[in-house]
Amino acid sequence: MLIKLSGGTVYDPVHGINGEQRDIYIQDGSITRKPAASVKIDKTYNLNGKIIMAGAIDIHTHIGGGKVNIARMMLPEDHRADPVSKTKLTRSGCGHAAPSTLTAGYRYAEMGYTSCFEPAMLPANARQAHMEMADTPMVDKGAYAMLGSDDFFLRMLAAKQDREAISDYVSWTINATQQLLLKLSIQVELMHLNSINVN
Amino acid sequence: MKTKTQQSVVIKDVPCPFCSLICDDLVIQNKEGNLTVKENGCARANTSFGQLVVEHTPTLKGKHCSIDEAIEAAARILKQSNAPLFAGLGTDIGGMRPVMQLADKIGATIDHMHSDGAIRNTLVLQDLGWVMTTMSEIKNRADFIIFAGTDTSNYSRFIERVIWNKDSLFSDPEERKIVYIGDKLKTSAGKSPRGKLPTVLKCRQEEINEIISVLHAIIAGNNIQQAKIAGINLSTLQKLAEQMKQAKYGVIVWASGELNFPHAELTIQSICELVKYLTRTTRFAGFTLTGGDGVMSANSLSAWQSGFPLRVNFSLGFPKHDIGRNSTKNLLKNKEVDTMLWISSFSSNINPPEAKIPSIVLATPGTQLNFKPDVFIPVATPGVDHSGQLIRTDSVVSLHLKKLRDSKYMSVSSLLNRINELV
Repeated sequence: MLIKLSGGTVYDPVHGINGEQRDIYIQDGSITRKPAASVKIDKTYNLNGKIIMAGAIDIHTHIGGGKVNIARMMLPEDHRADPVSKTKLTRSGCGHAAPSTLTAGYRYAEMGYTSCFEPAMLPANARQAHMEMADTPMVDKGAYAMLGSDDFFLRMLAAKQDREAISDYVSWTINATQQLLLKLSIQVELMHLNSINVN
Repeated sequence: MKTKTQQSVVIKDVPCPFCSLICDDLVIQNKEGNLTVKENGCARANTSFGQLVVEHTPTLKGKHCSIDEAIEAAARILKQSNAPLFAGLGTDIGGMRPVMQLADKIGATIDHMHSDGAIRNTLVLQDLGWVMTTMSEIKNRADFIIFAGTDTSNYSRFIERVIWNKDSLFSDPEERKIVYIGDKLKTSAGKSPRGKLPTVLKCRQEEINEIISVLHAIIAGNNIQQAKIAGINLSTLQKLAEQMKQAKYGVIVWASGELNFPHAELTIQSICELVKYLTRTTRFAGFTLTGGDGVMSANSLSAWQSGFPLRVNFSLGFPKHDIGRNSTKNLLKNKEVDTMLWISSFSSNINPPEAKIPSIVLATPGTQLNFKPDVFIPVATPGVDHSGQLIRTDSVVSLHLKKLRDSKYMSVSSLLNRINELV
């Protein structure tokens, strides 16, 4: 499917485009060059007066998982002070420091984010983190497996287990919990980042 | 894994949805839709999985109707409501999601049948917080366990799976010290495999707080003048306090639903403050046994989707939290709701309160009501008739429930989605 976004004002710092009115073409979900005049465009969206930017990515945002939910439960005053009413298209919610999931998704979209990543998914709690992220609308989501304080992982390090064994455990964890990558605390990162090779 | 023998199928690693432990090692035989627990069950699992498949049709004020008629009637009643109450909420994550969506849409109040217990814990979490542990950690590390106000008999396999579990990784279960504090507790399960008896401090449930507080005072180095505390000798408590200080990984277990007296949350808070004090010098943690019927899931999902745990009201277009006002009991008593939608999908022997307002009841087939609701719709059981998710009592672990057999009944989730389209 070929889509044309016409007349929007484009900001693309990476390519040095600083507020130029341009048309953007999207073929089957990927941005592509302007097609030949003979090619049929399936759908055009008129974006005159609108700004087009790449969606922002928040690589470290606590949007899901047991600990975020504990935070929500522990902040009734914060939540009472920040109610978000439902609208025709959106559901209600509340909260400033640890908002409800729907509110978090909407706010991220309002700010121009398209991807958010939960940086501290406890492997044992992965299922709930995924459920909370599934209830966060609008943005793409992912998470990092927090192993910096994982007992088994730390025992392997302390016992100087070989790299293969550690990599296997980390890979298994990332796969089993359907996460993107590994997350370690700063101290462990500095000590071991060079010596661990994760596929 | 499944093996087929004639018309029966054996399914392994079945998670049990019938209490908040969600034991996931059950072996279930399915013979033409009738289920028998073959291994790793308990009395509750045996009864619940063994509930016979019964014929139950939807009804309108007691008269049989089609499912479509029932759905339309339910939607009509909800549309006309100015102050709906969604109560019971005995369902899984999948069923709770459309509950939240519908509640937001029509301005309902949501409350779970077991929320009294959940709220006692919420109040403690919100006030001074706590340090908690999981079933796995207790199994692997605990050397000292206090059961405060519960003997865990409502959670049949807790002691077998978590306390006397020979697969403990870092501690010898035989070395575990067990203490019971409370009233009318059955303490035989606290006997170790080699016959070591637990310590039992008998007192009224309301006196547990006093004992915990005095233990805390002793451990903090205070001088207690009284010879007896809640009928227990001071010397007994002094000895216990010393044992607690020497413990390497202590746990205090309570069942929030079993501390059933006014302001029981203060007892739970005392337990949590004692736990926290002990963490200055050693490892200690709290552990709570929550109600079944999906209360942990309902509470958590309400918190992440609305921002508040139970009990939430959506009548102003945004969520409002009021644990006193928004209880099922008070809303019905004070006539603050004009319609009730009751959900209970795990067991057929749970009855909704009779409310003299239009009522829609979604319940397990076989449920015998002592009144005729405006709409009754029999619903499928999560973990039996359809797959789903439930959060376990320790809240860290969630389990995926299995579908064990085909069912003609709709899931709560499908039903509410249909009703949602019409409202």
